[in-house]
Amino acid sequence: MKKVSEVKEFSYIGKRIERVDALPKVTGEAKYFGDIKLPDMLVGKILTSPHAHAKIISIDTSKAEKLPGVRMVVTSKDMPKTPLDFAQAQFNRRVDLFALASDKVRFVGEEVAAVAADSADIAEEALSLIDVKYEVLEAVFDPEEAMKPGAPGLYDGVGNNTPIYMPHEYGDVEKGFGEADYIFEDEFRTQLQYHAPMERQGCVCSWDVQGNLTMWTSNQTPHLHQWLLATILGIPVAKTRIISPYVGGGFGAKAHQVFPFHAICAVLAKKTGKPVKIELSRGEEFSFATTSPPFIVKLKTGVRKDGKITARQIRIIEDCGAHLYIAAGQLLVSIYFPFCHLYKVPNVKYEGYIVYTNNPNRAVALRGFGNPQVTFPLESQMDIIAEKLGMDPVELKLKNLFEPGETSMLGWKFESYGLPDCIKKAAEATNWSAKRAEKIPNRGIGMACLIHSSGYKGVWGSIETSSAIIIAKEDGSFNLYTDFSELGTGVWTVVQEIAAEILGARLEDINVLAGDTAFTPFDLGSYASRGTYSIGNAVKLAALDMRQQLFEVAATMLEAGVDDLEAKGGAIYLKKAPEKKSSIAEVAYHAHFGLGKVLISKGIWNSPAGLLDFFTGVWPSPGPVTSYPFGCQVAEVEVDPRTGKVEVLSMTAAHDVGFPINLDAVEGQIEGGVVMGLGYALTENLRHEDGRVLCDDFVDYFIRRAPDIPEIKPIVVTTDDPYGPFGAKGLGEAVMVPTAPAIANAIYNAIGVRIKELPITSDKILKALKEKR
Amino acid sequence: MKIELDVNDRIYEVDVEPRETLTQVLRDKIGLTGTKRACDVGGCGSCTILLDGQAVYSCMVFAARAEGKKVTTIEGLAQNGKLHPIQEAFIKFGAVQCGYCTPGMILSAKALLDQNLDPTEEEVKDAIAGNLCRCTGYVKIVQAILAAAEMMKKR
Repeated sequence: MKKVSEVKEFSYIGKRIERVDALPKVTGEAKYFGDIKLPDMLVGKILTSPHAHAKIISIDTSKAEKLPGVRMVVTSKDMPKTPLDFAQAQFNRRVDLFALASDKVRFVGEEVAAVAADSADIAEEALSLIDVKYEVLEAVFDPEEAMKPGAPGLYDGVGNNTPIYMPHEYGDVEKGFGEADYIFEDEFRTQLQYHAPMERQGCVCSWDVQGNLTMWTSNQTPHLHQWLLATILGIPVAKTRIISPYVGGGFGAKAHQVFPFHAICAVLAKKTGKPVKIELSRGEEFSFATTSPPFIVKLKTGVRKDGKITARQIRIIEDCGAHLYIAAGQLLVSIYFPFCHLYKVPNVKYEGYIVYTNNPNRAVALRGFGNPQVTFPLESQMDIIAEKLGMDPVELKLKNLFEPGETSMLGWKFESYGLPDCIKKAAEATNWSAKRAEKIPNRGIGMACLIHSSGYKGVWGSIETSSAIIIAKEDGSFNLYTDFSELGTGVWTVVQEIAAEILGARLEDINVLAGDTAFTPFDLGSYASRGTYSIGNAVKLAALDMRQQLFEVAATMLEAGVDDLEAKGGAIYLKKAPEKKSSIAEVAYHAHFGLGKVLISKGIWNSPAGLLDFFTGVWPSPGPVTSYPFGCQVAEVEVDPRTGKVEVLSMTAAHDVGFPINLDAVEGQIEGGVVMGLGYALTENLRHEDGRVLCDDFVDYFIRRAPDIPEIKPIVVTTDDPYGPFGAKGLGEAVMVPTAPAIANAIYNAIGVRIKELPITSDKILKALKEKR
Repeated sequence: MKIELDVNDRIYEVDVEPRETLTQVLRDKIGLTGTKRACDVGGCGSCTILLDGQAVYSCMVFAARAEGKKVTTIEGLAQNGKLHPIQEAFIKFGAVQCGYCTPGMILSAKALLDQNLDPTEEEVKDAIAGNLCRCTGYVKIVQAILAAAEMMKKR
């Protein structure tokens, strides 16, 4: 098969293609779950705990039940007994998440009771009539305090509030540190970043008389959600329908997790026999507090005079709040990806602690999934090391990379390895060497790199699966069925392009039908940057199968062999005599009405990545991922030393995407990801005190507005990954991973202060400048 | 109380309470759900509509106060099935990702371009400063609005 970048004549792949979902969105026709209105629909509202840690003594719902317009009031006794995190039980070795609290509350905002009423006003009033008696307990908010003996315990049987402790060593770090000329030890801290999708969370539930449940919601993983919800409710999966085509931003907040409000809404709808809508207000979204879990990272690195890293050791404390959610996966990703594999280090040792606290954050996935939390320390420290050694950071980085095609100690192999290229291109585009030599006062330039994943075998059991179905209609138009919701990444257009390219059809002939479990096949959905890679591969397989079916029919019509045929622009023709052709429409018509064929094809993609051997800590090649995206970002900043304000002048982002299927979408992800990364670096912090979230609107929680964006230069690096569809790899998370350390390094280059705690706000800079003097 | 609202050149007679916002009435009573409600407290711009041609947050306007004024929502932009140049440009330049900020963003852009067909990049950014977007980083949105200005000048 030809190398993708050698094919000069793609019809759609690699071009700027208009999104298939853009028209419904610019006209306001696209419906999100909050736009759904059903007859007799009730409003559901949830009563949450005002205390960070308390015993529930009693709950009296009688007054609420009597309020006119209230249709149902529920507490934990009405909820399913199956824990909401049952699917993580094997990995976490415990369960801790239920729909409504029964004996204890462990954070401000924990769900305690719920009502369904005729209107929002009545539901709110009903909440105020529910009488909950609490016995307040001592709470703990500092994870390092929570780990100490004698700290208030959140759960019986979980010593030191530490449900998960993961230590491991590869090689011999003692020996490695012994070989080093310099040892660096630094501590870094990251904050709670909130996803802040524009569309708030919630759902609409409706049961029919036959016991079929339909849930409209905003969800990144419809099939996983379907299976989880059905299992929790104790109903057949086939009688559960999740409808979530348009998602107004996910970023991980809406992936593979049934939240309490989902289960509560389903139960309220069942008990009242009416549709129920629960929609978190923006204030409730902030206190609901889906965030990236904050990390405390102690990083120790040994380096030789010549710049070669000899050993690395890391200690991570991850505060998961009161429930584990998916904290463990993030801990492991942060260790295996940046810590073990951004650079080649012969001896590494890690210790990871996940700690319960009474903080309000829910440790769900957030773009990067632990990678930003450790890339920040790692790339900041590389800068510190480079300065000590008198080396340019670029030289230090290039010196410690893997060789292309090399297999790491852990069994990972990078078949496509664009990292050196990304570093060189980013340095060139920013005039790196000249700017570093320049030393303009208060201006600086800084660089940081990344490694990430395209899907990840091991996040969800032992599978990495996507599937697609294509049906050719009698007139040569196609229906393409995929589970994938459109979060805004552009995946619907990517699959449309891939199908059209392989089938030789026109783009407009491919009709993407997606995000509804009733008529789409099983898929893990959208997370771990697996979209283009996984569903792209599944669609590729389905399209190849369909192409074969069409060619077999066309071959009889054109009196040729299948191998003599080619397809392009909606027609199938003889390679050697292109004027001998039939349109796909004619072929499809003949198939149906001439031959009695029905044209259905399927594509099932199971990533050939490997599974971790928990005993040895090693993977079979190529590792948990076949196709690793890489990248390098360079920030240019100007710092005002009087105010501590950082102005980002430009961000240059070079990303190895394998091959860009839709150039506009790739640039869009880079631009959006960099801006979100700027927030992580400089302004975003879901502040909380004594367990209470202090932000409740976008004034307190500052995300960038149009006048605040710097110049952003995306550089697309292609490496023709052998596993990705048309050579493509993931991108959605990679774009946000190195932004914060690039900025931190640029700030140091500008004014000589190194901030090791995110976000890098002006008060921290001023304090550091003061200490410097 | 019964009021008459002129929305997208059509008169709607609706029964509203004094405290109901224009967002609530447009979405929940008239059924025009293109106007979004990402925060409902005047902090994000997703509810932006045009009131007598001026871009305003509909969540900050009492529905009753909109009586006697021309309300334009995203549904009113395309005329006879023909898209407005701003809508065309948003599609052409990849300025739409999750789409939730899009209706409000387009209307803020319209308010600007109806007054000024030669905006600078700074003026475009200022015009949409009140419209938050979490997905795009604004880059292609600004490009699309500048391109739409060119398209509108030609017509």
